[in-house]
Amino acid sequence: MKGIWLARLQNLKRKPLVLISMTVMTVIFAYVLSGGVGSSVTLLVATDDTDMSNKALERLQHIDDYSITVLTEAELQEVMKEKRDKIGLQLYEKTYSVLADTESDIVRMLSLEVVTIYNELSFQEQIVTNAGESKWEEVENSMVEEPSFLLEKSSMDESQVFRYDGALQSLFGFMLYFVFYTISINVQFILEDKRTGIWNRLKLASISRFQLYFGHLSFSYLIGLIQMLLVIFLFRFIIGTNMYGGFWKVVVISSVYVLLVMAFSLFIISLVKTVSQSSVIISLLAVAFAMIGGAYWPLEIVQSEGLLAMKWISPIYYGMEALKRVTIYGETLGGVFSYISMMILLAILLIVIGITLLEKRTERYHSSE
Amino acid sequence: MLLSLIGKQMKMLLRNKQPLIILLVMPVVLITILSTALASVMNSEEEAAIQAKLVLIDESSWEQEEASIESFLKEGGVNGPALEALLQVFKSNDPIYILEESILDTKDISKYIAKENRQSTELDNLRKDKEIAGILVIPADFRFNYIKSAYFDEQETPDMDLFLSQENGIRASIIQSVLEEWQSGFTKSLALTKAGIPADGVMQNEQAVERIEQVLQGSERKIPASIYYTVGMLVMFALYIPTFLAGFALQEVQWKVYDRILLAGVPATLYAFSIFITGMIIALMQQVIILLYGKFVLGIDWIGLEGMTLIALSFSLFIGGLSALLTTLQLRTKSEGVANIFSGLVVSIFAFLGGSFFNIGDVSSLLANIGSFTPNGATMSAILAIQKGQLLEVIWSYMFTLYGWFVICILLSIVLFPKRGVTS
Repeated sequence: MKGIWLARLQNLKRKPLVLISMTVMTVIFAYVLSGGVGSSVTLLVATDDTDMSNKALERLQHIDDYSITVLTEAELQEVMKEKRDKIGLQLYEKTYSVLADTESDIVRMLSLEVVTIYNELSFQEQIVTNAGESKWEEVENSMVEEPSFLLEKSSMDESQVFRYDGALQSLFGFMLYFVFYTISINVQFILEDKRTGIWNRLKLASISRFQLYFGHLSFSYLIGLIQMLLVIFLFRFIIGTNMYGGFWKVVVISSVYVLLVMAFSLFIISLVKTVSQSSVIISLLAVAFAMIGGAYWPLEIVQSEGLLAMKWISPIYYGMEALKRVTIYGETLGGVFSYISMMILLAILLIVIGITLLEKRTERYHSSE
Repeated sequence: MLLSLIGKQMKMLLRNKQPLIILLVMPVVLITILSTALASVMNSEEEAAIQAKLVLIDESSWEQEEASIESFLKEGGVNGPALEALLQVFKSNDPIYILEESILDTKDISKYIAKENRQSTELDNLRKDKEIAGILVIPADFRFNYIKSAYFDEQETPDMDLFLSQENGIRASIIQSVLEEWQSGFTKSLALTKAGIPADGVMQNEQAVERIEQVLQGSERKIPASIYYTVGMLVMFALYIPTFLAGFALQEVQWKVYDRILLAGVPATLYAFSIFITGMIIALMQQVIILLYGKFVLGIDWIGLEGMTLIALSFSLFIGGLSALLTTLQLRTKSEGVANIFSGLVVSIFAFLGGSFFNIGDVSSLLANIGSFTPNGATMSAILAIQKGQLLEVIWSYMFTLYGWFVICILLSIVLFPKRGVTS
């Protein structure tokens, strides 16, 4: 077993490029995405130069979530024609208009924000014209200090905290999606070893099957885990993502997720013949799993029942749900026990099926030779 | 000679089931899934895009509390017609009455929130209901306490419970923001009263801002999910064609078929050229099939025929060039490594950046900018621009990017292609 580890390590030393490039790629992607996720959305704003719209623009500029470029109306129309990924905003005295191809979450949030700004401005203006500046301050204070009544917010599920954090959701989603590739590449060595005949030679040597598989898989698992932890540590300690005190829980869940992905890749490898087949299939499945598992968008916006029912087959779903629950929802590890045990169960099942299939295949190879 | 080489390539592709499944079946399945699953999110004309279910549990009613309010007022020395009038004012300013009658019932709000009234005994069960996004519980003596606190400064600020569902986070946050707006309206008018400003004058003159739907010019139209994802998958799955062609070429080298072709007097460059042409033809066929699927199965009306033809031809040219380049690299390195990394990682990242999975601009402007320089992203933008009903001139910048990639692929293939034959 030690020998297998040494061999894999040697191999890694001689051809480190794939692993290094994959890891670097994941880290860069995670970094860029987190920049996009946490920081601002670019808004192109045009006003009609009235007092109201200029004040509204000024307030929007104070909101950190948006980075604003001011254009004239004609320029805005021109730019929006060509760019499909920008959000445009036209502010008039009494109306506004959002220019976007799709009615996404961001557009909805932006609309709400604009309405609130206009309402506040108009309220302030009314008071100032009716009663003067000094009264406005008085009203402003009393609004903060003496609410008419209180809304006590809590989560419907007693074990959770109510929080809405779309940014963390997409961050976890992309992380799980990308490590799916990087981890699965670590398992492809089996196909390579079989092709070159090393696998059979190892079997002929005095190594038990268990040692052979355990040695290889444990090494792959460790490499995968290091990659995953690298990404998580980068987020937590360098970028400073708020995980709501669930950092260690995230580490525990991720280590189980790595196991599941590894098991899954082993299963795929037992079904295909060549490395290129396995990488095409894994890349397609990763996309499909990310979609139905809620990595790209929260599952609550999916309305098709059939598609929702399919989430159970996606490994990404279990990881996603468990990660969201221990951070955003503020649950304990015990609360997500069912997801974690489901992941472990699936992993064991897939490893057993995968190894059985691989063994059968090898027997057939022998008999045909 | 060229024709028979192309014929050979096509036959190899057709006889392998795996390429056909990945090139045709996968995109069609994904298009269907995506356009139905996300139709409600992207198609803004559909009324109940995301409707949140709000349950209202009112533990009393105005009628039940009227008696205690009346006796409270009488204690304060209000009697006769004055009492009647005051009660009337309180009743019409009752927060719950306003919420039910003039907020949740309006057309704008009922589009997003569906309200239902239930009994307080059901609360425990309701909290477990996954369909419900929020529950508002109004305590039994809320109205009485509210009047005491708001008009007579006698009671501590009354409160009510709002339970929000974490699983329906987006819907719950819609409910939250509407209810917060409702609460802040009452706080505003209370603050006005305390400052001695007539609330009616201010609140009525306050102008509500109105959102105007984006004005579309003449032939312009919005892009529904079906078009978006058909185009997204179209540009993504074309990128798998070069992987397969390059894989076959490597196989031919390993099986010594390539050497035999060269022995038969076929120049190596002709072989490479045949791969270029094959890639182009297959890409064109794939695009036509997917576009027809969109037209006849999903009912998409494709517009701007000449623009579409131009884009499809250019994109096919690029795919041909990429096939030649990948083949060249495979023959050079004599391993599957290049095509592996390409199909496993590059295609996914390009598709991701190009916006095939979702509009990446929503997540990060930086990534969207990088994405518009990928060949598939540029092609996708060009097709979507045409489908939005814009003029042909808009797509030139995208075509420029696409041809840039094409030229790079061709040049690299010419420079790198091993002319002396390859030994396996």
